Amino acid sequence: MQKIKTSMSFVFEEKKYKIISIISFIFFLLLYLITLPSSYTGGKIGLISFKFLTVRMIIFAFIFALLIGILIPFIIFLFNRSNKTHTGTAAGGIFVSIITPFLCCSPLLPIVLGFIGGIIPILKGSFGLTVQAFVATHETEIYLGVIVLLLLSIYQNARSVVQCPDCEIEPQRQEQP
Amino acid sequence: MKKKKSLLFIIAIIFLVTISQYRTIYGQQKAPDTYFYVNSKKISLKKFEGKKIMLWLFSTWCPSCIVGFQALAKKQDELKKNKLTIIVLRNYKNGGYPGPTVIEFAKKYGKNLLKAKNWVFGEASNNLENIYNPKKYPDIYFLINSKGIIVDMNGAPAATIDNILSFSKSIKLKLKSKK
Repeated sequence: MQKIKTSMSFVFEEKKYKIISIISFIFFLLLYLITLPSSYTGGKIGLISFKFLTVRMIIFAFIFALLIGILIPFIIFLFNRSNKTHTGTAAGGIFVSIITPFLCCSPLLPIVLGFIGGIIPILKGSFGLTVQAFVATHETEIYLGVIVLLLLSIYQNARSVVQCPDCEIEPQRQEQP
Repeated sequence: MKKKKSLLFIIAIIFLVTISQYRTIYGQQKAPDTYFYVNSKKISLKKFEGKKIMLWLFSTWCPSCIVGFQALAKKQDELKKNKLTIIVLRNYKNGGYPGPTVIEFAKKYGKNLLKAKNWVFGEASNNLENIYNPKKYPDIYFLINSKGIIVDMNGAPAATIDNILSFSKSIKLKLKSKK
């Protein structure tokens, strides 16, 4: 937690990272407000999505956007200083959070599995239904998993910021080993 | 290398989101006859010939089916007025995943519809499922006109309620103009 606080205060000292953070937050908040209701719209996205927003979706959209709004400036900061970034967990979290509402009950899985089924006949169409049913009945747990992934990514990148040799973090801010 | 990876990641998301919008169009063709079960009694689709039908196959665990059912329940007065028969069938074995029966589902999300004359609640037979839902969508409906022609196929009735309403209205207008 201390590492995250230290790196946040260091990164957000620069105005440009504050702006990047705000833009990322707004962009992802809108993106999630549009995509999260697709489990109700059968994969349709657009203005119609707002009609189907629930309190649970708004809360998740806000949390995801907030975490990504912190994460992206960290990654750009490290990237600008040619330091090691941890983008794998971040990309995983973003991918899962965007794709989950489309898994049930849009035509996404039936089409993808129909295509794969042509190559691997053992994968029947009913397998897709089982996956969709699992996603539909465990959506909250999946979203909580996404939050864990994004937090982990923030922690990994915050650690890199704190340990960054070129970052000139004041000694009192440096994490004590 | 990283740029390439990011680009591939963005392309993958756009591709998956795009195909999720896509649904195979069944085309305007005669609705094949098959059967389903109402209270374990075999009912033929032919029985509904001459009526405007919405044949809806759904799974009781599916979120778009729940909101779809509620949206249809809200519009019941209009649907009844337009004489649209709604055949609501739970997918064969509920899509292979446990969940409430179609009656339990209806009791929970639109109790008033159980007694409505324009609603039929049942279970899809394996035969019906193979004909109308070979790709195993959890939520798919067919709009069949009084001549037995499938004029539209879609899913998520809550998001497409306007199409359903205009289907019921337009047919009525056509019948009126014939008179």
